[in-house]
Amino acid sequence: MTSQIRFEGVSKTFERDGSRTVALEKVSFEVAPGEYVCIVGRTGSGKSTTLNLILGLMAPSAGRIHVLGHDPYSDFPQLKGRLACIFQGDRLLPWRSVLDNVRLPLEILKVREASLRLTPAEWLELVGLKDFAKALPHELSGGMRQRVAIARALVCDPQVVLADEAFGHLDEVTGNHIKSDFKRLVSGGGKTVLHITHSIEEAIGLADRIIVFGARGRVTGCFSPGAGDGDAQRLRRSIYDHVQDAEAPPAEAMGI
Amino acid sequence: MSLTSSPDLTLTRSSRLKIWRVNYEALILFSLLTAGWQIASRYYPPYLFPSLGAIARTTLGILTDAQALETVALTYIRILLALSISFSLALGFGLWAGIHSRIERALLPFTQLLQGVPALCWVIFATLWFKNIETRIAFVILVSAFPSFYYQIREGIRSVPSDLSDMVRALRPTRLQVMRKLTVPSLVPQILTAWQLNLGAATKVTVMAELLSGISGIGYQLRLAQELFRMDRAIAWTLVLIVFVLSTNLVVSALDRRWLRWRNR
Repeated sequence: MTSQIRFEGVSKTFERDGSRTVALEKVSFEVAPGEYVCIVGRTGSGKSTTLNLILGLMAPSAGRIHVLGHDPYSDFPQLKGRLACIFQGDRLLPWRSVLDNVRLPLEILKVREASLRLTPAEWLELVGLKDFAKALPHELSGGMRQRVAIARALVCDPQVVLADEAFGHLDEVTGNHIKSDFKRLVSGGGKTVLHITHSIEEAIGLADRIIVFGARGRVTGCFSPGAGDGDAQRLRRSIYDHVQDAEAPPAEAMGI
Repeated sequence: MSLTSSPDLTLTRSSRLKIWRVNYEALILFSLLTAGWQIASRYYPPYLFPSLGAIARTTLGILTDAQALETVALTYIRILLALSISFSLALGFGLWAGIHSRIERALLPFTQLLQGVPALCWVIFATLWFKNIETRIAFVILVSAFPSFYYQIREGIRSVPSDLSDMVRALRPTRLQVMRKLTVPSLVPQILTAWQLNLGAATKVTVMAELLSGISGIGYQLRLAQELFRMDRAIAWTLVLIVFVLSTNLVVSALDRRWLRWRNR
């Protein structure tokens, strides 16, 4: 089956004030339709750069990226509404009501609510916030705000969902509830998910496949938690070792 | 029906209890000052210290006289109209500068220069340049208020949170959509602050312009009061000005509470 996200020898170099920082070097991986893939790695291993490249916010220095068969940088119009992202922190517009925040992608992408499988109000109901449509973000708890961010990402019914440390700022109990709800929503909709996280526990709990990034995005390990990669304890240990043993990212990539 | 587990539905909405507290300290100081004034009025002529009763009667006379109210309206319309023009220009240039750094670089010394010129100099320039009184006053308010509006808008654009900007950018909005959905709404606090600052400043500038080169308006009435040695009229017109500034500030504060409800964290 054709992969929905494909990296082929992708490199990304940043140049600033005459110095070069290699964020990614010849990175290759694929994500199949409906698959939930987590990328774990140390700070500065190129995870966020990978996400920005998939979002088409920057062009790769070398190699090719395909998202749903299109180059996300040069051919983004073909991906409008088919690719969504849940960011670190909820990133809700504080002056907009909860419902209007969920509507934001529809307004920008000029999608009519009538053409949707589920309206923004129905998405709010799905994430358990039916009664808070008119509330402002500051009136909600952190967990509730992240639920709104999930509804906002899914309202256009995207095929590919990206998550960037999306649950890292929540406390463990709230985070666990929201993670399992998120997993249920994306799995039920047959969506492809690429989730970037620091947390090995989170990756094991959510992913069909875990990719471990070493320095400059070098793939140092690949694990399938649900497909006979040993018991949970051994898997956890093995992923942890891969992350630990990975060559330390260059200091400049870690902002040192 | 919800497909998800029940979220924590505890609202953090702050209570909207308003606590009114009498400021006794200010009340005592104010009472002492007015009592002192009243005592002084018994020993000095009315062109220096008119009695409180005379001031009250003159103020009431202004507020109940159609011609005097026309004078008040004329000054207020001048202030609000010229400020609106100044704000529109500053908003346009501020947004333009927010998009193009070259425009920002070009405008920066120009606005610094405008800010450095005292309002009185603008009054003199306007008197020499323009024959029409309305043009003179509008020009002085426009150039005096422009830098403050422009700086607030420019700072507002700079302070749009980058995480929100990245989130919106990921949806590939047009420039107009970025302005409408992100930039302008996030500018509202700075815009309201600029209006609050400029209303007070523009009132002073307008009255000064009317006083020095006008033939109508509150400033002109103040000049007449000075020429006729009518301190009661000077104070009464000043009170009318204070009422205007305070009431317009109240309107801006009400808009602030309504439009910036989202900032009540």
